[in-house]
Amino acid sequence: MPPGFRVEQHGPRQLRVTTLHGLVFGTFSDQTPAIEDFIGPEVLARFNRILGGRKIEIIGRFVEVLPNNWKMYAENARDSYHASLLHLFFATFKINRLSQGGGLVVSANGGCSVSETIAPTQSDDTAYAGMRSVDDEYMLRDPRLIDVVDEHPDRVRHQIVTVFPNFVLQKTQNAMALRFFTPDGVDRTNLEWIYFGYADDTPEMRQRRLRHLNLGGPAGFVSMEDGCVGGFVERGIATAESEAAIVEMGGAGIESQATRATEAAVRGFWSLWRRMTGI
Amino acid sequence: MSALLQVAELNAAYAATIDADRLEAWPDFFVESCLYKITSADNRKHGYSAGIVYADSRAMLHDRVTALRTANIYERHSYRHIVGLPVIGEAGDDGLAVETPFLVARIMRDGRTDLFATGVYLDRIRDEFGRLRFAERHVVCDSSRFDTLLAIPL
Repeated sequence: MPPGFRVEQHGPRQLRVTTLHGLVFGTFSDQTPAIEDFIGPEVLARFNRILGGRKIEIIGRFVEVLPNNWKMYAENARDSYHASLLHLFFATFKINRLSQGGGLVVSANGGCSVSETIAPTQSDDTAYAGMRSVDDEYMLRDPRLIDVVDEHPDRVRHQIVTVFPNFVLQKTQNAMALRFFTPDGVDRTNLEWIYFGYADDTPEMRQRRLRHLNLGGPAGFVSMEDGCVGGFVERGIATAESEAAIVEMGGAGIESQATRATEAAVRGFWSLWRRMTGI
Repeated sequence: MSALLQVAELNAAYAATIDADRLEAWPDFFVESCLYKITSADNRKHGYSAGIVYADSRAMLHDRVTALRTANIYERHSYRHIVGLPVIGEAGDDGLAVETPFLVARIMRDGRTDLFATGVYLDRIRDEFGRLRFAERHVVCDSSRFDTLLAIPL
């Protein structure tokens, strides 16, 4: 080594870390603001809803290997419109309907989002039942899959929170999961699922979470399609490299909207990605 | 017939039912208030109770088959189960404890064949009116990684 060599000048890159409700977030950039400012007050409120003041307990960890680029999954998690078209489980079993209330929040920087579905009120449900024939063929034989207990002072039944670039916090009925995804090459992504409950769950509530988790994960009734659809899209677009299609669903901006029929969060992801990569 | 042969016959029939796509008959291999769970060795080691599939009734298994047939979207594929010889454990009030290794190949519609999962079935088997059924079947995969998705049961 030359005489001027200083070992302390050759360490690994410094990762700045911070925590939010016990979750550790890291950045290599000096420019990244505090996590609360990065995600913004509305996204932070949804973290608080699920994690605030609660001690969580991990109850399962699995990895789903996706045959597509990681950004395809980043889009998937932010695309609040595809669920009604691709995930037909709830519609088939007549558990909810496309007109169910909800909305989409996009953070000011574009990169973080919340998609929410709100349970209908009793009167909405009754009105709906009269308008539609009941098909016994597709009734759940074990309705405990959907016996939801409202744990928060709202009627939100499904909440997907994304944080740029690769983090998702999910609560569906009483099932809760953290997801993060990392590229394993250009066309492979490892999607990690961390299932959790609250440390003070009653045995009944914990059992309910285990049942509701059938809705998510690699074998989930309303998530298994996400495992293959990114690959379908990439195979489909491979022959059309010079083609383009622009839909502009929900406009061309990245503002929050009182509907899930919008691609605002997808546009938000790409706008932040382009700013950060300079592309 | 010895317990070993009886259990081997049950396992063979179970695997053949899934591999031949007779999924409607799959729940019949379980008692009514059963537990069927797909998990991994790592999850088991940590004492994590969640599975990627968790059914604590035979009715839930029926619901899964109905969902696969009518609601879920995935590329057509099939499995080939190779099930090893069972290790017969102790008989208790909750049934006979059995451990059986398995290997499952996944055959996609274009013919591509991959090793999809290996692991061990940890079972509690009960005799219900002369027919052996699973009171519990813990599908403990050796790996916690699942390629693309899991639709057809293991």
